[in-house]
Amino acid sequence: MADAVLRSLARWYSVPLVLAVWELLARTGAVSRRLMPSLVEIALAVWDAIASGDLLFHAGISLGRAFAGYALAIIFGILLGVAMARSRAFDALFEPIFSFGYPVPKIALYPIFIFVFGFGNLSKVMMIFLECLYPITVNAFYGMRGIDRVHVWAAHNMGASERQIFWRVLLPGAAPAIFAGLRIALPISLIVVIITEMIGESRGLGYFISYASASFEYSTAFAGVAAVAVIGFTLDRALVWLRNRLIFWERGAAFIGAA
Amino acid sequence: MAAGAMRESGFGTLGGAGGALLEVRDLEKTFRRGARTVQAIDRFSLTVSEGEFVAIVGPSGCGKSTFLHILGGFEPHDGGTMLLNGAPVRGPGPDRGMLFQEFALYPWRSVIGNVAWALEVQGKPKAERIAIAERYLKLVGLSQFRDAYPAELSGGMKQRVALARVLAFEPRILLMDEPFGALDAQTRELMQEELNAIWQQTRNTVLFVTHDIDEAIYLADRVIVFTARPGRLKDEIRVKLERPRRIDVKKTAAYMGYRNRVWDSLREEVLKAREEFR
Repeated sequence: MADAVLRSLARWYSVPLVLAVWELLARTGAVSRRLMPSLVEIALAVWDAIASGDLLFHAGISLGRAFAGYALAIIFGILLGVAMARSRAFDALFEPIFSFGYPVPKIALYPIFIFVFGFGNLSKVMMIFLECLYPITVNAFYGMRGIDRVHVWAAHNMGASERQIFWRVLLPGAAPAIFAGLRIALPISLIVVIITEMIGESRGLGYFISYASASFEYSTAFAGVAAVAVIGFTLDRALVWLRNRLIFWERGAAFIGAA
Repeated sequence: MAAGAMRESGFGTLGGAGGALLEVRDLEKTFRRGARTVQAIDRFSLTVSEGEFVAIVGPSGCGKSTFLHILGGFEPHDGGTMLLNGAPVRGPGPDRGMLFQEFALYPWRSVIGNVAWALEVQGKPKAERIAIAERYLKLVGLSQFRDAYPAELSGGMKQRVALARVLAFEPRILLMDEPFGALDAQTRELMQEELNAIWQQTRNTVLFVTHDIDEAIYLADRVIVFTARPGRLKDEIRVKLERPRRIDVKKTAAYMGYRNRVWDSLREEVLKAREEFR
């Protein structure tokens, strides 16, 4: 028991340490309190924002957009990655696009997206979709390509059909890599929704944070940041939980924080 | 026709020693990588009788595994004919049961799930495939591990599951590609004994590729020696050690005689293969 407490202390001590340093800097006035409010002030601001309903309203808007873009990226990303791994024609068509486009920050296209899709939900959802599409497609592609050839050979040997091999060998075999892509894309969806909401928008957590900062209400801005952090952390945990249920045979392996 | 003794013991299909089951004539295989070509197999012929256990030894890279992959239908060949039971071999199929060095078990399926899936793809009803799978798990001594997953098993146990899986769909011939190559020396020896005991019951026709001379002599009725690349037939040694063979047979003078005979034949080829890598 005491052992377990010590071990989790050893693992997690850096989090309270950062908070303590923050509080110290804020209280001693080493950094202006306006820029770096104390944790108590931030907590009060979170409480106020929840009580007024603002935080949940804006968080709901942001989550809706992030999910819409992320879900589209999951559907098209997996389809595209699988098609590229299975068909030479698809591979030849899309591989260069993904190779060249992968390191490019697609967010630079946002002004053009606004022009094409307008200032509303659509430009943001499309931006999230595009940014999330890359890691999901690339991971699905390498997951399908990386399947052990003896797994396919053994199935052929038993007399399995191509269809059976696809659903019962290739897809489960690629699932760990597919989930790795989903996990990379999840925080990207939140990053992109926040950034795009900071530009010409009147709803969503990005707007909430940038509006509070512009009004010099830094504790409220940090309340928004804290909300984003909590959402990101919770969603990532949920995804890891789901992944470990679905890919039970590879528990923990090559998936950080899977314990 | 299948021998009565086999049916009675509950493990189907196999015939008594008799006519030619597998006939390979002048098999050719060349790998092409860009402008480079490497001849892997050069006019190799082999006849295997029903119920015979044939081992193929050769230096590494000699094309013996490639030969098995071609027979399994996983890789194309460039010339020659292969007849199984009189019919040409085309593509992979369950009349040949392949055992891989890497086991090739599906990690997302339990032990029984792995064995039963081979029967599921062949359209056997659920109750039947579970019953057959259980029977073969018992044969390889893994009944109590039926619900375990491959990750929970040792290497030797994994290969026993893989063996149960191919035996379960009752192929005409077993193709074993260095099946114990990934195991440690002790486990390997135990697995040889176990395979011998299982074979004593099932009397499958087996083509067994290995680089281990002891394994080949201990298990096989006939040892084929491959030359260094391109693989050709170098030598053929009939092993007339009495069956059932216990592991002590490895201490007998007769066994040592076979061992020296195979090694003398193989040694030259191993040296040649080494020259090529210099």
